[in-house]
Amino acid sequence: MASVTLNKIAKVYPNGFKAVHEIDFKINDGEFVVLVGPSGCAKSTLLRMVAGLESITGGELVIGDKVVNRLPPKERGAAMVFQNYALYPHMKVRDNLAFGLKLQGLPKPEVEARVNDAAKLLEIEPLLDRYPRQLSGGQSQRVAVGRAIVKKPQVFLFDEPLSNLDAKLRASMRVRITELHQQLKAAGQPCTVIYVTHDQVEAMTMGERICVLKEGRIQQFDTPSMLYNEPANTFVAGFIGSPEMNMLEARLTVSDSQASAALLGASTSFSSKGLPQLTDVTVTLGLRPENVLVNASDATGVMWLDSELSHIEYMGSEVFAYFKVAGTAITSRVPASQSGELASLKRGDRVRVGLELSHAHWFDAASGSNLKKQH
Amino acid sequence: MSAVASQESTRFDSSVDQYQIRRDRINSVIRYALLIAVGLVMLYPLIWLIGASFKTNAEIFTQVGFWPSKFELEPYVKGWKTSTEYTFTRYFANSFLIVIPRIIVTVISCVLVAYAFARFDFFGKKILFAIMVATMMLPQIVLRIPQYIMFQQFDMIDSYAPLVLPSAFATDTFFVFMLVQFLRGIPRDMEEAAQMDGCNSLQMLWYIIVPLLKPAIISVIVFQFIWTMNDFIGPLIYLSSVEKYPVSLALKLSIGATEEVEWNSVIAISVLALVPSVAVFFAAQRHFVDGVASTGLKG
Ligand SMILES: Nc1ncnc2c1ncn2[C@@H]1O[C@H](COP(=O)(O)OP(=O)(O)OP(=O)(O)O)[C@@H](O)[C@H]1O
Ligand SMILES: [Mg+2]
Repeated sequence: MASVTLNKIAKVYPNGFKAVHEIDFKINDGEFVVLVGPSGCAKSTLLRMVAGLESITGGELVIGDKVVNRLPPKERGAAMVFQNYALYPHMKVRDNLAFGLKLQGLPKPEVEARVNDAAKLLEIEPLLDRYPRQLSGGQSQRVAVGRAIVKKPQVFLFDEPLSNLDAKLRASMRVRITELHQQLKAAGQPCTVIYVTHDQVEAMTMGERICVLKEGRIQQFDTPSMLYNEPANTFVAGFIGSPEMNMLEARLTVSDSQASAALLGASTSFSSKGLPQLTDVTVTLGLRPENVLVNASDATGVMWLDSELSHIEYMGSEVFAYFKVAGTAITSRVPASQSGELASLKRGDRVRVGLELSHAHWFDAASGSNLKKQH
Repeated sequence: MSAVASQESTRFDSSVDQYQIRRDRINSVIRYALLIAVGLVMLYPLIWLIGASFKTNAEIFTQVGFWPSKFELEPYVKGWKTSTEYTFTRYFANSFLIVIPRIIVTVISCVLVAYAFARFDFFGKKILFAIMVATMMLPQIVLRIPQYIMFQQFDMIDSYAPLVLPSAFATDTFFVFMLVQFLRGIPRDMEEAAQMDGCNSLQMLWYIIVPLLKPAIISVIVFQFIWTMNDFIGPLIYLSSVEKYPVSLALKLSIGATEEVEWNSVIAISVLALVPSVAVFFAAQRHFVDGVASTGLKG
């Protein structure tokens, strides 16, 4: 039952390192927000500031309608799941779950009921009488989540909770946590979730909204589809999506409804929807691999170029093909069913690739920001 | 053809195995024989002590072997009675009256101080810690005189206070140092989790730190028990009435009291005086070894 608002939040570590630069955002009540970014971008720092484990050196943190900058963790109504779970090794699972409730001074039957409810929800009932050292990684992870749930927090904080699990378990836990969020919402106990990860797949699949961070600054805070389809800058464009978006240098001219671009030694024109007026400016063109065609089609706005095949990766349902066009690397992603003659090609063969410029993203060459968003 | 070959090879394998097994066995026999021999050499004084405690006074000085010609319980009985007006029951009780309170205050004060050094930031922490470690280098003897004068002014001479009280202020810096090192090896995540669970600093200490420190605390208890039990100089300086003497002093007393020293009784009581320390060590052995060997947690 709480929104989380950051007003110009900043963090300067005691050694003088400024980890967080005046961050502003608002997370709505009951929302699932993912903080994502490369290692060292201050995701953990931000989360720990919300939790109250790290002091806030600037700005205002509001949970619900209270400014909580100076409140200790327990008064913020937040519960946290740590990356390495941090279960108390000397307590049984049951006591691990009940510890916080007992400290709150809840009556015994209430504590028991909550522990049992959480155990049922997470299917850890058979484990209640074990010690943490007797659990597998996945089980420990569920206990750690349970320890957060029993407190019925207003805000859930996760710091890379799945990074210690193997790929398969990670995928199933991903679904489980998302479902849990829905379940709690349906049960009338909605909670706001802030989930930290460096894994873009986790971010895209779990977040209702995603906050992309870089070096302590927000790059973009938006829904997954907006991040994918309208990245705010080259960093977000490159960070989200796999394989990475192709980034090419181009010269762009836009006048009224027509735009023309020159790149890789060729030029073409297309409709200029949403672009500002420009005359022969150097820009960065971003093109997702799925917008690089390998089969001739008569779609309009496609720029066909000669290329040389570097290598091919078969992913089962898809094929990733890496080309060289005029010395520049270009990646293409094709559904296996449409890969056609790709399969029979080998390194060094000439292929015609088509760039769907109607799907291209245009970025300012210097600042990297999306030209369509700059007005 | 191939069947024969495979049979051949299994026979060859098994003979290799047997050779291996035999060699392992010989190796371990040699190893154990050596270990036992060295162990016996090291333990010999103790074995001799126990043997001698059953001998007569004359036999101790005439017979070389440690095996008594006859098991006499008399040395024990006589030694226990002592030539003073108190029996060793009194002296053992006295020892425990010093040891137990001292262990309690040591554990409490050292854990508190170590917790502060390991987990809190305060002004001058580094310098204070350095000073504390430096006091470990200070010979005890240097402190005796000022301490004696101080306790004299407090009017605490001939009481157990001078033997117990200093430990209540974490003056056993070795223990503080040991606990700090142990705490540094414990990841902080659990404490952060406890903080999220709503612990204040003292609850954290009691519910989280102390259980995690258990092996180290047991080491502190064992060391302090043995050292205090064996302490001779301390009681010698501060205690003047015989009724307050601990075992270590009383033993000396029984050597000096009579013209002709009843060595067999002295030895018998020495053996008994060893019993509590040995018992405490073995009772705590499992945890104690844990504490010395591993200062962290798995996973
Ligand atoms: N106690 C500290 N003192 C000084 N600088 C710190 C401290 N803790 C973290 N930093 C710095 O702050 C920045 C952000 O660290 P943080 O742990 O928040 O990164 P992160 O995004 O969580 O990275 P990861 O994905 O690797 O966990 C890093 O550059 C780090 O070096
Ligand atoms: Mg981190």
